[in-house]
Amino acid sequence: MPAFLTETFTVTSDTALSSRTSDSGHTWTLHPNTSSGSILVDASTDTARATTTAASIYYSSATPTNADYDTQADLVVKTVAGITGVCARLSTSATTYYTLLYYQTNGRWEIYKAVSGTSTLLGFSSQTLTDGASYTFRLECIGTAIKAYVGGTQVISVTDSSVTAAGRPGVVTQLVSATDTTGMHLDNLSATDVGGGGTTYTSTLTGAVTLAGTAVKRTGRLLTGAPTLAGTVSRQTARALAGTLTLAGTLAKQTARVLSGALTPSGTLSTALVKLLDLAGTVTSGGTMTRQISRVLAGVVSITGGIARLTTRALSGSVTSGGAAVGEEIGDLPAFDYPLSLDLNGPRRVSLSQGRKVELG
Amino acid sequence: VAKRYYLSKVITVDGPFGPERRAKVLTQSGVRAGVQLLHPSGAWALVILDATNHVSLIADLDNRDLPDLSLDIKWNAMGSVAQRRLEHTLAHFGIPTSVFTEPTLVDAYRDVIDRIGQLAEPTFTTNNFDVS
Repeated sequence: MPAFLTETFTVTSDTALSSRTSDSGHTWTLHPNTSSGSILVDASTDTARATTTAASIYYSSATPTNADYDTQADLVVKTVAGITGVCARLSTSATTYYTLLYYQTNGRWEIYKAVSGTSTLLGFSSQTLTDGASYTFRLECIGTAIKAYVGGTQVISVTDSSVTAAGRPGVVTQLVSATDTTGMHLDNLSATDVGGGGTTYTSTLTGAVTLAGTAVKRTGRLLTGAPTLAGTVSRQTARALAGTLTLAGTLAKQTARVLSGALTPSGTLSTALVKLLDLAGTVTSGGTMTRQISRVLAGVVSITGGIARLTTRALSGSVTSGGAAVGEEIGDLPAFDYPLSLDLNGPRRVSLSQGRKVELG
Repeated sequence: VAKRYYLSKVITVDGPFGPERRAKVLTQSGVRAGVQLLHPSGAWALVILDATNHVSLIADLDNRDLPDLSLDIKWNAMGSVAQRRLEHTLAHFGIPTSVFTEPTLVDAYRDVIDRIGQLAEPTFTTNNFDVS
Protein backbone atom coordinates (compact mmCIF):
# COMPACT_ATOMS: atom_id res chain seq x y z
CA MET A 1 0.00 0.00 0.00
CA PRO A 2 1.34 3.44 -0.83
CA ALA A 3 1.90 5.91 1.99
CA PHE A 4 -0.85 8.50 2.39
CA LEU A 5 1.61 10.83 4.11
CA THR A 6 5.23 11.37 3.20
CA GLU A 7 7.43 13.98 4.78
CA THR A 8 11.19 14.39 4.29
CA PHE A 9 11.33 17.78 6.04
CA THR A 10 13.32 19.22 3.15
CA VAL A 11 13.35 23.02 3.34
CA THR A 12 15.54 25.85 2.09
CA SER A 13 15.21 27.88 5.28
CA ASP A 14 14.20 27.13 8.84
CA THR A 15 10.42 26.73 8.87
CA ALA A 16 7.92 26.29 11.69
CA LEU A 17 6.31 22.89 11.32
CA SER A 18 2.91 24.58 11.38
CA SER A 19 3.93 26.46 8.21
CA ARG A 20 5.27 23.39 6.48
CA THR A 21 3.57 21.46 3.67
CA SER A 22 4.72 17.86 3.50
CA ASP A 23 6.01 16.16 0.37
CA SER A 24 2.58 14.57 0.00
CA GLY A 25 0.94 18.01 0.18
CA HIS A 26 -0.38 17.90 3.73
CA THR A 27 -0.13 20.52 6.43
CA TRP A 28 0.78 20.23 10.10
CA THR A 29 -1.26 21.65 12.99
CA LEU A 30 -0.19 22.13 16.59
CA HIS A 31 -2.59 20.17 18.76
CA PRO A 32 -4.78 22.60 20.75
CA ASN A 33 -3.94 20.85 24.04
CA THR A 34 -0.21 21.47 23.60
CA SER A 35 -0.47 25.12 22.69
CA SER A 36 2.93 25.93 24.22
CA GLY A 37 4.67 23.47 21.96
CA SER A 38 6.90 24.28 19.02
CA ILE A 39 8.67 22.16 16.44
CA LEU A 40 10.95 23.59 13.77
CA VAL A 41 11.95 22.13 10.43
CA ASP A 42 15.71 22.74 10.35
CA ALA A 43 17.14 23.73 6.96
CA SER A 44 20.70 22.73 7.85
CA THR A 45 19.72 19.14 8.61
CA ASP A 46 16.38 18.76 6.82
CA THR A 47 14.92 17.32 9.99
CA ALA A 48 12.26 18.34 12.50
CA ARG A 49 13.27 19.19 16.06
CA ALA A 50 11.72 20.63 19.20
CA THR A 51 12.45 24.24 20.11
CA THR A 52 10.84 24.10 23.51
CA THR A 53 10.81 21.64 26.39
CA ALA A 54 7.04 21.93 26.59
CA ALA A 55 5.00 19.10 25.16
CA SER A 56 4.55 19.52 21.41
CA ILE A 57 2.09 17.41 19.47
CA TYR A 58 1.33 18.11 15.83
CA TYR A 59 -1.16 16.30 13.65
CA SER A 60 -1.13 16.01 9.89
CA SER A 61 -3.99 16.94 7.60
CA ALA A 62 -3.47 13.59 5.90
CA THR A 63 -6.48 11.36 6.52
CA PRO A 64 -6.07 7.59 6.68
CA THR A 65 -8.58 5.35 4.94
CA ASN A 66 -9.41 3.70 8.24
CA ALA A 67 -7.93 3.19 11.70
CA ASP A 68 -5.49 0.52 10.52
CA TYR A 69 -2.28 2.26 9.55
CA ASP A 70 1.28 2.71 10.63
CA THR A 71 3.35 5.81 11.24
CA GLN A 72 7.07 5.56 10.67
CA ALA A 73 10.01 7.93 10.95
CA ASP A 74 13.75 8.05 11.39
CA LEU A 75 15.00 9.17 14.78
CA VAL A 76 18.14 11.16 14.01
CA VAL A 77 20.17 11.28 17.20
CA LYS A 78 22.40 14.30 17.50
CA THR A 79 22.48 13.78 21.25
CA VAL A 80 20.15 11.61 23.29
CA ALA A 81 17.77 13.95 25.11
CA GLY A 82 14.14 14.24 26.09
CA ILE A 83 11.26 12.61 24.27
CA THR A 84 10.68 12.32 20.54
CA GLY A 85 8.21 10.12 18.74
CA VAL A 86 5.29 9.61 16.41
CA CYS A 87 1.56 9.31 17.00
CA ALA A 88 -1.31 7.44 15.41
CA ARG A 89 -5.09 7.71 15.80
CA LEU A 90 -4.49 11.20 17.10
CA SER A 91 -7.65 13.15 17.81
CA THR A 92 -7.56 16.71 16.50
CA SER A 93 -9.42 17.96 19.57
CA ALA A 94 -9.03 15.59 22.54
CA THR A 95 -5.72 14.39 23.95
CA THR A 96 -6.37 10.91 22.63
CA TYR A 97 -3.85 8.87 20.65
CA TYR A 98 -1.27 6.11 20.60
CA THR A 99 2.37 7.12 20.54
CA LEU A 100 5.68 5.37 20.10
CA LEU A 101 8.52 7.47 21.42
CA TYR A 102 12.05 7.26 22.69
CA TYR A 103 12.35 8.46 26.29
CA GLN A 104 15.91 9.40 27.15
CA THR A 105 15.36 9.33 30.93
CA ASN A 106 14.41 5.66 30.82
CA GLY A 107 16.64 4.76 27.86
CA ARG A 108 13.89 2.92 26.08
CA TRP A 109 11.22 2.91 23.39
CA GLU A 110 7.80 3.27 24.93
CA ILE A 111 4.24 2.94 23.68
CA TYR A 112 1.67 5.06 25.46
CA LYS A 113 -2.01 5.48 25.00
CA ALA A 114 -3.70 8.72 25.88
CA VAL A 115 -7.46 8.84 26.38
CA SER A 116 -8.96 12.26 27.01
CA GLY A 117 -5.74 13.44 28.60
CA THR A 118 -5.02 10.38 30.73
CA SER A 119 -1.85 8.65 29.61
CA THR A 120 -1.00 5.03 30.26
CA LEU A 121 2.18 3.17 29.44
CA LEU A 122 1.38 0.06 27.41
CA GLY A 123 4.88 -1.30 26.96
CA PHE A 124 8.55 -0.55 26.56
CA SER A 125 11.79 -1.97 25.27
CA SER A 126 15.20 -0.74 26.36
CA GLN A 127 17.84 0.34 23.86
CA THR A 128 20.91 2.48 24.25
CA LEU A 129 21.05 4.96 21.40
CA THR A 130 24.28 6.30 19.95
CA ASP A 131 24.94 9.95 19.19
CA GLY A 132 25.20 10.46 15.45
CA ALA A 133 23.17 7.37 14.59
CA SER A 134 19.73 7.14 13.02
CA TYR A 135 17.00 4.67 13.94
CA THR A 136 13.94 3.82 11.88
CA PHE A 137 10.95 3.21 14.09
CA ARG A 138 7.33 2.43 13.35
CA LEU A 139 4.08 2.46 15.28
CA GLU A 140 1.60 0.01 13.80
CA CYS A 141 -2.07 0.04 14.73
CA ILE A 142 -4.27 -2.70 13.31
CA GLY A 143 -7.50 -3.15 15.17
CA THR A 144 -6.56 -3.64 18.80
CA ALA A 145 -3.06 -4.83 17.92
CA ILE A 146 -0.63 -2.04 18.70
CA LYS A 147 2.98 -2.77 17.81
CA ALA A 148 6.36 -1.07 17.79
CA TYR A 149 9.14 -1.82 15.37
CA VAL A 150 12.71 -0.53 15.54
CA GLY A 151 14.98 -1.20 12.61
CA GLY A 152 12.34 -3.49 11.17
CA THR A 153 12.24 -5.68 14.28
CA GLN A 154 9.13 -5.91 16.40
CA VAL A 155 10.03 -4.90 19.94
CA ILE A 156 6.63 -4.31 21.56
CA SER A 157 3.31 -5.96 20.89
CA VAL A 158 0.25 -5.19 22.95
CA THR A 159 -3.52 -5.41 22.73
CA ASP A 160 -5.58 -2.32 23.50
CA SER A 161 -9.03 -1.21 22.41
CA SER A 162 -9.13 2.24 23.99
CA VAL A 163 -8.57 4.31 20.84
CA THR A 164 -10.48 3.08 17.81
CA ALA A 165 -11.10 6.18 15.69
CA ALA A 166 -8.72 6.65 12.76
CA GLY A 167 -7.66 10.11 13.83
CA ARG A 168 -4.49 11.40 12.23
CA PRO A 169 -0.81 10.57 12.21
CA GLY A 170 1.33 12.98 14.20
CA VAL A 171 4.59 13.75 15.94
CA VAL A 172 5.44 14.42 19.57
CA THR A 173 8.36 15.98 21.45
CA GLN A 174 8.86 16.92 25.09
CA LEU A 175 11.54 17.70 27.67
CA VAL A 176 14.09 18.85 25.11
CA SER A 177 14.83 22.03 23.20
CA ALA A 178 17.07 20.81 20.43
CA THR A 179 19.45 22.61 18.10
CA ASP A 180 20.80 21.56 14.75
CA THR A 181 23.55 19.68 16.58
CA THR A 182 21.75 18.50 19.73
CA GLY A 183 18.68 16.55 20.67
CA MET A 184 16.73 13.91 18.78
CA HIS A 185 15.32 14.93 15.40
CA LEU A 186 12.72 13.38 13.11
CA ASP A 187 13.22 12.63 9.42
CA ASN A 188 11.62 10.61 6.61
CA LEU A 189 8.20 10.38 8.23
CA SER A 190 5.46 8.46 6.50
CA ALA A 191 2.07 6.99 7.26
CA THR A 192 0.69 4.01 5.40
CA ASP A 193 -2.66 2.26 5.37
CA VAL A 194 -2.31 -1.38 6.26
CA GLY A 195 -4.71 -4.27 6.18
CA GLY A 196 -6.45 -3.32 2.95
CA GLY A 197 -5.92 -4.37 -0.66
CA GLY A 198 -6.33 -7.78 -2.21
CA THR A 199 -5.60 -9.70 0.94
CA THR A 200 -7.77 -9.08 3.92
CA TYR A 201 -6.05 -9.08 7.26
CA THR A 202 -8.38 -8.34 10.08
CA SER A 203 -7.21 -8.38 13.62
CA THR A 204 -10.50 -7.56 15.24
CA LEU A 205 -13.68 -7.75 13.26
CA THR A 206 -16.97 -6.82 14.78
CA GLY A 207 -19.06 -6.71 11.61
CA ALA A 208 -20.07 -9.25 9.03
CA VAL A 209 -17.89 -10.31 6.12
CA THR A 210 -19.25 -11.34 2.77
CA LEU A 211 -16.88 -12.72 0.17
CA ALA A 212 -18.21 -13.48 -3.27
CA GLY A 213 -14.85 -14.48 -4.65
CA THR A 214 -12.00 -16.60 -3.55
CA ALA A 215 -10.18 -16.02 -0.31
CA VAL A 216 -6.72 -17.44 -0.71
CA LYS A 217 -5.76 -16.69 2.79
CA ARG A 218 -7.95 -15.09 5.32
CA THR A 219 -7.16 -14.41 8.91
CA GLY A 220 -9.75 -13.16 11.32
CA ARG A 221 -8.16 -13.32 14.72
CA LEU A 222 -11.08 -12.12 16.74
CA LEU A 223 -14.28 -12.34 14.84
CA THR A 224 -17.56 -11.48 16.45
CA GLY A 225 -19.53 -10.95 13.27
CA ALA A 226 -21.06 -13.41 10.88
CA PRO A 227 -18.91 -14.01 7.82
CA THR A 228 -20.59 -15.42 4.73
CA LEU A 229 -18.30 -16.91 2.12
CA ALA A 230 -19.82 -17.73 -1.24
CA GLY A 231 -16.56 -18.67 -2.88
CA THR A 232 -13.78 -21.04 -2.11
CA VAL A 233 -11.66 -20.56 0.94
CA SER A 234 -8.33 -22.26 0.68
CA ARG A 235 -7.26 -21.27 4.11
CA GLN A 236 -9.29 -19.74 6.85
CA THR A 237 -8.08 -18.96 10.28
CA ALA A 238 -10.39 -17.57 12.86
CA ARG A 239 -9.00 -17.75 16.34
CA ALA A 240 -12.04 -16.57 18.13
CA LEU A 241 -15.33 -16.70 16.31
CA ALA A 242 -18.48 -15.71 18.09
CA GLY A 243 -20.66 -15.49 15.01
CA THR A 244 -21.86 -17.92 12.42
CA LEU A 245 -19.59 -19.00 9.60
CA THR A 246 -21.54 -19.94 6.51
CA LEU A 247 -19.80 -21.46 3.53
CA ALA A 248 -21.47 -22.17 0.21
CA GLY A 249 -18.29 -23.40 -1.39
CA THR A 250 -15.49 -25.70 -0.50
CA LEU A 251 -13.45 -25.21 2.61
CA ALA A 252 -10.00 -26.56 2.01
CA LYS A 253 -8.55 -25.73 5.34
CA GLN A 254 -10.30 -24.28 8.27
CA THR A 255 -8.90 -23.53 11.62
CA ALA A 256 -11.10 -22.07 14.28
CA ARG A 257 -9.58 -22.25 17.70
CA VAL A 258 -12.49 -20.87 19.61
CA LEU A 259 -15.88 -21.08 18.01
CA SER A 260 -18.96 -20.24 19.96
CA GLY A 261 -21.16 -19.82 16.92
CA ALA A 262 -22.23 -22.25 14.25
CA LEU A 263 -20.15 -23.55 11.36
CA THR A 264 -22.36 -24.53 8.46
CA PRO A 265 -20.60 -25.56 5.27
CA SER A 266 -23.04 -26.82 2.65
CA GLY A 267 -20.24 -27.97 0.41
CA THR A 268 -17.72 -30.69 0.86
CA LEU A 269 -15.08 -30.55 3.52
CA SER A 270 -12.91 -32.80 1.40
CA THR A 271 -9.58 -31.90 2.91
CA ALA A 272 -10.81 -29.85 5.75
CA LEU A 273 -8.95 -29.52 8.94
CA VAL A 274 -11.25 -28.07 11.51
CA LYS A 275 -9.46 -27.48 14.71
CA LEU A 276 -12.03 -26.35 17.15
CA LEU A 277 -10.57 -25.93 20.56
CA ASP A 278 -13.71 -24.68 22.15
CA LEU A 279 -16.91 -25.25 20.32
CA ALA A 280 -20.17 -24.22 21.85
CA GLY A 281 -22.10 -24.08 18.60
CA THR A 282 -23.04 -26.48 15.89
CA VAL A 283 -21.08 -28.00 13.03
CA THR A 284 -23.23 -29.31 10.24
CA SER A 285 -21.79 -30.66 7.03
CA GLY A 286 -23.85 -31.75 4.04
CA GLY A 287 -20.86 -33.45 2.51
CA THR A 288 -18.08 -35.67 3.58
CA MET A 289 -15.69 -34.69 6.31
CA THR A 290 -12.40 -36.42 5.80
CA ARG A 291 -10.72 -35.08 8.85
CA GLN A 292 -12.16 -33.34 11.81
CA ILE A 293 -10.33 -32.38 14.91
CA SER A 294 -12.26 -30.85 17.70
CA ARG A 295 -10.44 -30.61 20.97
CA VAL A 296 -13.12 -29.40 23.26
CA LEU A 297 -16.57 -29.88 21.92
CA ALA A 298 -19.58 -28.68 23.78
CA GLY A 299 -21.86 -28.40 20.78
CA VAL A 300 -23.26 -30.76 18.20
CA VAL A 301 -21.51 -32.20 15.16
CA SER A 302 -23.82 -33.58 12.53
CA ILE A 303 -22.33 -35.10 9.38
CA THR A 304 -24.54 -36.62 6.71
CA GLY A 305 -21.56 -38.14 4.95
CA GLY A 306 -18.74 -40.24 6.24
CA ILE A 307 -16.05 -39.23 8.68
CA ALA A 308 -12.65 -40.50 7.70
CA ARG A 309 -11.02 -39.40 10.86
CA LEU A 310 -12.49 -37.76 13.87
CA THR A 311 -10.50 -36.82 16.87
CA THR A 312 -12.29 -35.32 19.79
CA ARG A 313 -10.38 -34.93 23.00
CA ALA A 314 -13.13 -33.70 25.24
CA LEU A 315 -16.67 -34.16 24.12
CA SER A 316 -19.69 -33.03 26.00
CA GLY A 317 -22.03 -32.79 23.03
CA SER A 318 -23.02 -35.37 20.49
CA VAL A 319 -21.68 -36.60 17.15
CA THR A 320 -24.01 -37.97 14.56
CA SER A 321 -22.77 -39.44 11.30
CA GLY A 322 -24.84 -40.90 8.51
CA GLY A 323 -21.85 -42.61 7.00
CA ALA A 324 -18.92 -44.64 8.09
CA ALA A 325 -16.52 -43.37 10.68
CA VAL A 326 -13.07 -44.69 9.98
CA GLY A 327 -10.24 -44.24 12.40
CA GLU A 328 -12.35 -42.44 14.90
CA GLU A 329 -10.65 -41.63 18.10
CA ILE A 330 -11.80 -39.99 21.26
CA GLY A 331 -9.26 -39.35 23.95
CA ASP A 332 -8.77 -37.39 27.10
CA LEU A 333 -12.32 -37.32 28.24
CA PRO A 334 -12.42 -34.91 31.13
CA ALA A 335 -13.17 -36.09 34.61
CA PHE A 336 -16.55 -34.45 34.55
CA ASP A 337 -19.88 -36.09 34.21
CA TYR A 338 -20.70 -34.76 30.78
CA PRO A 339 -23.66 -36.12 28.86
CA LEU A 340 -22.15 -37.96 25.95
CA SER A 341 -23.74 -39.68 23.05
CA LEU A 342 -22.25 -41.24 19.95
CA ASP A 343 -24.36 -42.45 17.08
CA LEU A 344 -22.12 -43.75 14.34
CA ASN A 345 -23.32 -46.24 11.74
CA GLY A 346 -19.85 -47.36 10.72
CA PRO A 347 -17.05 -49.10 12.56
CA ARG A 348 -15.80 -47.34 15.64
CA ARG A 349 -12.80 -47.33 17.89
CA VAL A 350 -12.80 -45.47 21.16
CA SER A 351 -9.57 -44.80 22.99
CA LEU A 352 -9.83 -43.68 26.57
CA SER A 353 -7.29 -42.27 28.92
CA GLN A 354 -6.46 -44.28 31.99
CA GLY A 355 -9.20 -44.31 34.56
CA ARG A 356 -11.91 -43.10 32.20
CA LYS A 357 -15.10 -45.03 31.67
CA VAL A 358 -17.61 -44.92 28.87
CA GLU A 359 -20.88 -46.74 28.39
CA LEU A 360 -22.05 -47.34 24.84
CA GLY A 361 -25.72 -48.04 24.37
CA VAL B 1 17.69 -12.58 30.23
CA ALA B 2 14.33 -14.32 30.23
CA LYS B 3 10.73 -13.40 29.69
CA ARG B 4 8.11 -14.33 32.19
CA TYR B 5 4.47 -13.55 32.89
CA TYR B 6 3.52 -11.76 36.08
CA LEU B 7 0.46 -10.58 37.90
CA SER B 8 1.24 -7.38 39.72
CA LYS B 9 -0.27 -4.79 41.96
CA VAL B 10 -1.09 -1.49 40.21
CA ILE B 11 0.42 1.71 41.57
CA THR B 12 0.36 5.35 40.52
CA VAL B 13 3.61 6.88 39.31
CA ASP B 14 4.67 10.17 37.77
CA GLY B 15 5.09 9.55 34.06
CA PRO B 16 6.29 11.96 31.39
CA PHE B 17 2.70 13.00 30.69
CA GLY B 18 1.56 13.17 34.32
CA PRO B 19 0.39 10.69 36.94
CA GLU B 20 -0.36 7.27 35.54
CA ARG B 21 -1.22 3.79 36.71
CA ARG B 22 1.45 1.22 36.19
CA ALA B 23 2.14 -2.36 37.16
CA LYS B 24 4.45 -2.18 40.15
CA VAL B 25 6.72 -4.86 38.76
CA LEU B 26 7.48 -2.68 35.72
CA THR B 27 8.71 0.13 37.95
CA GLN B 28 11.41 -2.00 39.52
CA SER B 29 15.03 -2.14 38.45
CA GLY B 30 16.35 -4.85 36.19
CA VAL B 31 13.38 -4.91 33.84
CA ARG B 32 14.71 -4.53 30.31
CA ALA B 33 11.38 -4.68 28.49
CA GLY B 34 7.77 -5.24 29.38
CA VAL B 35 4.16 -4.77 28.44
CA GLN B 36 1.25 -4.42 30.80
CA LEU B 37 -2.47 -4.92 30.69
CA LEU B 38 -4.26 -3.11 33.49
CA HIS B 39 -7.55 -4.47 34.74
CA PRO B 40 -10.11 -1.63 34.67
CA SER B 41 -10.69 -2.04 38.41
CA GLY B 42 -7.04 -1.26 39.09
CA ALA B 43 -6.81 -4.41 41.19
CA TRP B 44 -4.15 -6.09 39.09
CA ALA B 45 -2.12 -5.99 35.92
CA LEU B 46 -1.04 -8.81 33.66
CA VAL B 47 2.54 -8.33 32.57
CA ILE B 48 5.12 -10.03 30.45
CA LEU B 49 8.61 -8.74 31.03
CA ASP B 50 12.18 -9.42 30.17
CA ALA B 51 14.60 -9.14 33.06
CA THR B 52 18.13 -10.19 33.79
CA ASN B 53 17.15 -11.44 37.22
CA HIS B 54 13.66 -12.31 38.29
CA VAL B 55 14.61 -13.13 41.87
CA SER B 56 14.36 -9.58 43.15
CA LEU B 57 11.05 -9.10 41.36
CA ILE B 58 9.58 -12.25 42.83
CA ALA B 59 10.77 -11.27 46.30
CA ASP B 60 8.24 -8.43 46.27
CA LEU B 61 4.96 -9.93 47.38
CA ASP B 62 3.07 -7.41 45.24
CA ASN B 63 4.40 -9.30 42.24
CA ARG B 64 3.56 -12.91 41.49
CA ASP B 65 5.25 -14.61 38.61
CA LEU B 66 3.20 -17.15 36.72
CA PRO B 67 4.61 -20.62 36.06
CA ASP B 68 7.58 -20.46 33.73
CA LEU B 69 6.23 -22.99 31.27
CA SER B 70 5.73 -23.19 27.54
CA LEU B 71 2.42 -21.69 26.52
CA ASP B 72 1.78 -24.79 24.46
CA ILE B 73 1.97 -27.19 27.39
CA LYS B 74 -1.32 -28.93 27.91
CA TRP B 75 -3.28 -28.13 31.03
CA ASN B 76 -3.36 -31.77 32.02
CA ALA B 77 0.41 -31.95 31.59
CA MET B 78 1.20 -28.95 33.75
CA GLY B 79 1.10 -30.90 36.95
CA SER B 80 -0.87 -30.27 40.07
CA VAL B 81 1.86 -28.18 41.70
CA ALA B 82 1.82 -25.61 38.91
CA GLN B 83 -1.97 -25.69 38.78
CA ARG B 84 -2.28 -25.09 42.53
CA ARG B 85 0.26 -22.30 42.33
CA LEU B 86 -1.75 -20.65 39.59
CA GLU B 87 -4.89 -20.94 41.67
CA HIS B 88 -3.23 -19.28 44.64
CA THR B 89 -1.79 -16.50 42.48
CA LEU B 90 -5.15 -15.75 40.93
CA ALA B 91 -6.85 -15.84 44.31
CA HIS B 92 -4.29 -13.37 45.66
CA PHE B 93 -5.46 -10.81 43.11
CA GLY B 94 -9.14 -11.71 43.34
CA ILE B 95 -9.22 -13.35 39.93
CA PRO B 96 -11.75 -16.18 39.76
CA THR B 97 -10.21 -19.59 39.20
CA SER B 98 -13.21 -20.38 37.05
CA VAL B 99 -11.07 -19.14 34.16
CA PHE B 100 -9.63 -22.64 34.17
CA THR B 101 -12.92 -24.35 33.50
CA GLU B 102 -15.40 -21.88 32.09
CA PRO B 103 -16.84 -21.91 29.54
CA THR B 104 -14.82 -25.07 28.97
CA LEU B 105 -11.78 -26.67 30.48
CA VAL B 106 -8.69 -24.92 29.16
CA ASP B 107 -6.67 -26.89 26.68
CA ALA B 108 -3.24 -25.39 27.22
CA TYR B 109 -1.40 -22.94 29.44
CA ARG B 110 -1.83 -20.36 26.67
CA ASP B 111 -5.57 -20.47 27.21
CA VAL B 112 -5.12 -19.66 30.90
CA ILE B 113 -3.14 -16.52 30.08
CA ASP B 114 -5.60 -15.60 27.34
CA ARG B 115 -8.56 -15.89 29.68
CA ILE B 116 -6.88 -13.86 32.40
CA GLY B 117 -6.08 -11.14 29.87
CA GLN B 118 -9.57 -11.18 28.46
CA LEU B 119 -10.93 -10.27 31.87
CA ALA B 120 -9.22 -6.91 31.33
CA GLU B 121 -9.35 -6.61 27.54
CA PRO B 122 -11.88 -8.74 25.66
CA THR B 123 -9.70 -8.91 22.55
CA PHE B 124 -6.59 -9.93 24.45
CA THR B 125 -4.44 -12.70 23.06
CA THR B 126 -0.99 -13.88 24.05
CA ASN B 127 -0.10 -13.72 20.37
CA ASN B 128 -0.23 -9.95 20.65
CA PHE B 129 1.33 -9.42 24.04
CA ASP B 130 5.07 -9.61 23.84
CA VAL B 131 8.37 -7.76 23.99
CA SER B 132 11.85 -8.27 22.66
